[in-house]
Amino acid sequence: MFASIANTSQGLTLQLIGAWSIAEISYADTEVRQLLQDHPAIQSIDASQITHLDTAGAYLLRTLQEKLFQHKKIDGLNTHFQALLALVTRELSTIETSTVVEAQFSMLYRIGKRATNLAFQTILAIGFLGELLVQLLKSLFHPLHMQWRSVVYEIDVGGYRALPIIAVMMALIGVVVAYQLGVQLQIYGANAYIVDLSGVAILREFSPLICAVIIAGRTSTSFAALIGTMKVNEEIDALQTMGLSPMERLVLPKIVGLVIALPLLTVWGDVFGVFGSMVMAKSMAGIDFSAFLQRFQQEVAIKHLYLGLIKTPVFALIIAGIGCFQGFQAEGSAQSVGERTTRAAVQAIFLIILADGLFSILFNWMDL
Amino acid sequence: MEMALSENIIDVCHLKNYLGGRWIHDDVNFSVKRGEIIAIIGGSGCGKTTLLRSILRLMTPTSGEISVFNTNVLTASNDVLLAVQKRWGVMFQSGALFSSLNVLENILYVLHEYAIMPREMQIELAKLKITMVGLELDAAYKYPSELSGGMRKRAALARAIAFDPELIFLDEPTAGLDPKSAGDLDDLILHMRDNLGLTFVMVTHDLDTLWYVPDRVIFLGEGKVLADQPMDVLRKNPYPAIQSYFSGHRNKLG
Repeated sequence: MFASIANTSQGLTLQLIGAWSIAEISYADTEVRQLLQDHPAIQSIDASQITHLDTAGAYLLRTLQEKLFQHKKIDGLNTHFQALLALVTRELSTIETSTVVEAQFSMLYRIGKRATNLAFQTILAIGFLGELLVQLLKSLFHPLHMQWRSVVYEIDVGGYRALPIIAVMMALIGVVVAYQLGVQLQIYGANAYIVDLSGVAILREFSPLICAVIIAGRTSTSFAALIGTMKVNEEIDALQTMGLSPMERLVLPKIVGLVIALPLLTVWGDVFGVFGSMVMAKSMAGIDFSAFLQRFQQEVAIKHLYLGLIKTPVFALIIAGIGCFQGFQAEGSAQSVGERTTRAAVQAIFLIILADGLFSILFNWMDL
Repeated sequence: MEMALSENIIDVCHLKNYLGGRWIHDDVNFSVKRGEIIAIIGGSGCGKTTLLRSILRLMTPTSGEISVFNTNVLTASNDVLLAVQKRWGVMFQSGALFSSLNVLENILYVLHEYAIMPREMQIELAKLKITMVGLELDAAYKYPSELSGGMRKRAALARAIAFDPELIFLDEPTAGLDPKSAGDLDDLILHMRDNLGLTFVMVTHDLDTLWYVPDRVIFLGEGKVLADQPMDVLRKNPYPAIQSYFSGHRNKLG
């Protein structure tokens, strides 16, 4: 019950009753509208029985007064509620007279915005790369200036602590590769070739690629989130005001650390990948471990290991570079940090696969 | 706005908190009546924030009782607690506005969740709250990162009063504001108390605010409420900890 109709000395009166508060104003609204529909000819409005009024209630009163009560006076409101109603009326009239509307953007605007954004991002990325190179050259000439403590820390976090996941993943990949090759080779009775083929595939392609992708998901995102949060907290600005370069303090150790860690991880991945295919070869084709290793030594040339490893510093550069770059692009909000973290992972993995393709073309061209 | 002015809104009884190897609170007792403005002060590390967090149920105190709106918030079920939470609003020190939403959306977020009413009405009400705290309406479509410190505080206050709460907690409302904005905010708090009948509990270090706004000041120290009196009486309180709190050169006898 929020309202009722009564016949008083002032004629047909709409009586407003009870607590007009935000939790229930919607019901009050419908009830009053219903009553007014049934009794269109009310003479006066009596609000003396309202026991509670908050801003939402006052807002409703004022709207009803304007739209349905034909600006009739509301009688009997106590002084506190009157003051509140006056306040709300004053504020609402300023809202109505102001002309601010939310900007609506057309399709064309959004396309243009995206295009310029993309161009800006590219320019910024080139700038970032340039600054990185300058910093890298500087530290080459002054190796003692380098934050070696941070480098070691990055190797620990990004490399050493990734050993278990790399081992498990690569062993599984080794098993899968050997199984698929084995199925095909059995048809031709060429079981022994499992060793050659899986060895080459793992050393040359799978281990560098899978390790890089895992580290991109693990480390690139963490760099982006870390630097992004530091940027939002103005920690980057703080570094700069101390005359310390964020590039030298934050980015360089991460890049150098990962360039050292990723090749080592890839070798570790090679070991477990080959171990996985060894297990599969034994259970599927009955090739003993010793026979497998002997044939592995004879048939798989060492150059495949080198060709696999030579790609990894480039992958490491992509992973750490993209992660840091995206981190620096974060601004202002938690959402932007999240967005940049996602982008770091997606772009890093994309560029790793692209670079791997380019390496394949290059090696093919060089007849390696 | 019921006029039962003697009703206790907050009762804190024998509150104790043991944190980080020491007793932050060792028997804290006080109560807040409807329509009052209370300030909680005390030296750094005296447990102002811990007290506020205990009342707000952001942490569980070691022992003691806290009741808000006659509900024991420490033992209340989630549903009962929610009913209490809907009746209070909190303004955090740095605003704690959702950074991915603009000011209007920040306020709508609460209304959308709890208020049963058409969307247009929610938007109108949200705009009403924005102008009530003294923000220009074009701030409605700005994101928190685009606002100045003073505007952010006002936006945070607008969000705190979004669901027309009866009780509002303010954590350092004037910290980081210029004297003019801080003064305006003081006036705004008094104005809202007088016009909307709200009850305020604030933690502050701002002496100008302390002289001007609160009805009572609760001085926390040595794990207890050392004093619970109006500012002019508190200033003359001979207790050593209180005198030392006010002994800095930035003090003036009001």
